[in-house]
Amino acid sequence: MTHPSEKDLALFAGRDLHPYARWRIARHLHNCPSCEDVLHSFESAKEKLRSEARRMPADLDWERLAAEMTGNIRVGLAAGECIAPVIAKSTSTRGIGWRASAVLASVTGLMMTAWWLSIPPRLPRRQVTVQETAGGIELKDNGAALILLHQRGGKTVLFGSSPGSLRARYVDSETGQVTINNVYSQ
Amino acid sequence: MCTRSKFLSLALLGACGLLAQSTRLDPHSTLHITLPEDAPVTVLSADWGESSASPRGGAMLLDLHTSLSLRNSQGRRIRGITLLVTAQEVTPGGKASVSVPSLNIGPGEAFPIRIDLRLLRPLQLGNGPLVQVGLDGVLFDDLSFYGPNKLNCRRSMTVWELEARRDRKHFKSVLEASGGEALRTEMLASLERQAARAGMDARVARAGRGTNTVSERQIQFAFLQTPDSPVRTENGMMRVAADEARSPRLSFTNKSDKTVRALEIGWMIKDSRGKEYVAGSIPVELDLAPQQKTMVIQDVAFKFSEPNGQAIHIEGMTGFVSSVEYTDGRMWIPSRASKLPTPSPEEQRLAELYRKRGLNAVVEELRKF
Repeated sequence: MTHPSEKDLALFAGRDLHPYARWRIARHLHNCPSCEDVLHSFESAKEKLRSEARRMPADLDWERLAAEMTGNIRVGLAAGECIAPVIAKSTSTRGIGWRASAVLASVTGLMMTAWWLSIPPRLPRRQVTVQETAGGIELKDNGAALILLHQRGGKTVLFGSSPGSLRARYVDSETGQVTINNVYSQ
Repeated sequence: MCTRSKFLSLALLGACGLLAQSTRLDPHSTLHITLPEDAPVTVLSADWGESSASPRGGAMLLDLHTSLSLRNSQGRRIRGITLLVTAQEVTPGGKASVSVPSLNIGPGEAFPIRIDLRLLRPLQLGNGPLVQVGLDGVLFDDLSFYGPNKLNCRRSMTVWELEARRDRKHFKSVLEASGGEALRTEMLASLERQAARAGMDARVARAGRGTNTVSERQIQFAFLQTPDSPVRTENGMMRVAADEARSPRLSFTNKSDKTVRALEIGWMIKDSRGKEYVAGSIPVELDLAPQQKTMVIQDVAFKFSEPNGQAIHIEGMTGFVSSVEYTDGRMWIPSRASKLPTPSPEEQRLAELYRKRGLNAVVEELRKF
């Protein structure tokens, strides 16, 4: 499976991707928990940045800030009055007909609906873990569990294996046999 | 309250109490053992011991304890066996296996295998057979193999058998060259090495994103190089944050003139106090041509804690090549001169035999092979 780059995931988190790339990554994310985790980390970083930005600096000079804002608004209004006649002239000569606008809007609406319908439903992710404790190796899957128990007595040697499996080895105190238990999550 | 009402209340309470207690399981409806018709072993008997079921909140807790007696029904000696255990209704996709290496079972001889399982399943599930036990593989003394090999147990069992032969040969040579006391010293040294490796608990999951990315750092593997190894470990690192190690990245060069199909890297971790723990083994599937180099990244994360629940803060890691499989099916394992930190299953078995029954039992056992 080809994963999107971290840059694309960051753009996706900031809603800065064009629609096709956004749709492609959204599709990928439905089947890739690791990329989804990366996305969540970007989203949480974005939220953190926002909350930091909301805090005003302690030494902020409100008087000066207000004066600068007023000045900028006045400059903008004056510039708008200067170019207003030119814009009015150009829109009156280059405007498109209402029929073409209606067709364009219908086609866009149709494409948006098709895109929306093609997104697969978001399913809850299965939480499967393999864990080794003093009692045995435990596979947990959404509330259900399978535990391969170690036998009483004998020293257990644990081996983490991969991917998603654990192994434990011990000598059976009754039979003297070496027993090796493995539990796999997939 | 009238006497009749009191009696009814008491009876109701009693019935509830009985329901809450554990009940003996009917193993035939809970656990199915299925072996192929041409399997080299047959089930002689199955003792279900204290298997029981008890309610636990909104779930049912099933304790399954069985001791199977199997017989070697073929003409070759059995050296190892792996049984596959599945519970599809409880943990879909999940599976377990029970392997017994270092066996020496002649034709017609019987041997026991214990399976101890605990299942926690929601009450609403059906009452069909919950656990299926099947055969994944049998290894014979000529290293031939029988079985579906769904869990790739053939490779593991062959490695265990080769390690067992290597270790028995070593202990026999010590016995012949220097006598019983020298063998005793070897056994005591082995027990000491095993005791020095501290126990721990572990958790494994897909790597995904680290839960503690702020303090995450990369730790390089310190590799133990074995001079006769056909594969040289060039570089290895893991992302580590406190007790979590994830996404191992390893690079290798095939020094041999044969293509390597797979290898296994053993690894150990060291905590901030310098205490060492056997962390595990990382099996790596690859197709590495002679003299070629490759890098492998695995999508897995491990969390380690001491048996008392205290997190183990990882400060260092040591890795070593513990086995190599070539494309022609032949295997390489390190020699004992490499002084690798983990004992083989056979060394563990013989050391335990010495601890329980003394030196004569070990000498007697070595003579059987």
